[in-house]
Amino acid sequence: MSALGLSLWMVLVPAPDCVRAAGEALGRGQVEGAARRGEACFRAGGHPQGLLLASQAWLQAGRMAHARLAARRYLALRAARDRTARNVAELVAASAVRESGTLHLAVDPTVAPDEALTLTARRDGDGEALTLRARWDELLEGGAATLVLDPGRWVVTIARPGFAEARLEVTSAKGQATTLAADMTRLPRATEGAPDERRRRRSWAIATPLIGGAGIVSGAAVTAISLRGADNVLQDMSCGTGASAAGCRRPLAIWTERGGGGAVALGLGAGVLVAGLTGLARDEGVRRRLWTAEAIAGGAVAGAGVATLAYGTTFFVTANAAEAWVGEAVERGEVLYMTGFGLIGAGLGLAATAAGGLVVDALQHRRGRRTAWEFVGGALRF
Amino acid sequence: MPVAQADGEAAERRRKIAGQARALMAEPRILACLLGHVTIGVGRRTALTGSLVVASGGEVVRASVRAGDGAVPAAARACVADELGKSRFLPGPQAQLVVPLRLEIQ
Repeated sequence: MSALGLSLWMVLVPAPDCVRAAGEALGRGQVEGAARRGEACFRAGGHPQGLLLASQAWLQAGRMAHARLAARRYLALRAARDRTARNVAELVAASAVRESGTLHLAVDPTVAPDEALTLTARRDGDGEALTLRARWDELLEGGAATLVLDPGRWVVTIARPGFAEARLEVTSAKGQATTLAADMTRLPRATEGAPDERRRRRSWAIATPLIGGAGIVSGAAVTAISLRGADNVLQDMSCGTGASAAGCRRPLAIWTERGGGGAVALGLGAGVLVAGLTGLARDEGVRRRLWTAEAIAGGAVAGAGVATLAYGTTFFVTANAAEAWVGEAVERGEVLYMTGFGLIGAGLGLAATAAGGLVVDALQHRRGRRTAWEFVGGALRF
Repeated sequence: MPVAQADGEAAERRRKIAGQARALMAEPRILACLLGHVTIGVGRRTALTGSLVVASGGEVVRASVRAGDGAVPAAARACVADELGKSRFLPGPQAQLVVPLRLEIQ
């Protein structure tokens, strides 16, 4: 087998069943059906041959716009490396151009690289099944979106997130190049990105005050009770120089530990509340920046809390266990211990909520992009 | 030159010319002849048979392409033959060499 034969065999044979079925439909003269089957085969299994077959079938059907788009999509595939097949796709694209008109499209404001614009084009008299659907980025040639359209009257619509849909009418003629510009109107912010965004903000508005508030209230209550308990012990007669373990030192340690628990809940609640309120910001960029800063600050605060706690614990234990028991020193140790716990709680609450918010936003962003792809794929899910 | 050696050289040249012709089937100008008549690059095998008569300088004296397995319209076959006729092949000492062809499109 020659090198060419071998490469053809490796790349082209065996063809998947769906490509064979499309080929058989083509053999029976069902040209448009074969083209659709070929595209469906590519969508379902990512078989490049389906797209290549579709491009040739559309060409045979005299559907130049569809043929060229399928050929360009094939050529854009990484898997499409076979020289013969690429030559065929290039020939299809060139043949389609010769028989059609060319439409160069521009939109104002200029499209940013990460914007998911979609475009549909339908020729007068053609049914929904023959509507051409494409992503903006796959039409880009030499910096402009270029569509090759069979001769006739076409309606081209451009869908862009955050903008009102643009509708353009164009009459295409063989060999004629037309340039059209669409001034796209930005939608008011309230309707932009609408239901999902509103639902998300509502969730933040309900969840964070609830969780944060619950933490603050319960934490504050436990801390107050603990401080009062510790105060009562301090007032006790058994505290002072030569304080007893059972009557002063142990109860004081117990109340301090409880106070630490209260302080951590209080700090956690405050952290959740602060980072949670950031989630109400409408502008995603601002939100993302604030959350990033809060996540970093939260980590730093938690770190400071750990250090304070370590110091406070040592201080308290040393002062409370000292033979010459001094009330002021024990109280200072108690405050340091509780402050350490409070800082750890606040830092963790802030960092965890901010990080959670960033993750939720990122997931939402990804889902949005996938939705755009699926929309394009109503008929052509590329 | 002994007859056996001459025959061996002719056979070798014939083999190489047939290989050159097969490689030409991937060229856009030949593919353009077949586009619209044969679905190319999708695992469907279509074969053409034919012959080339190549002069000692490598130029084609006559090219003919017939249908093999699978239907290829006469116009497309004539176009392929015409494109083969425009190509230059391996030169050799023989006066004219007749090369049988089997060309496959997948």
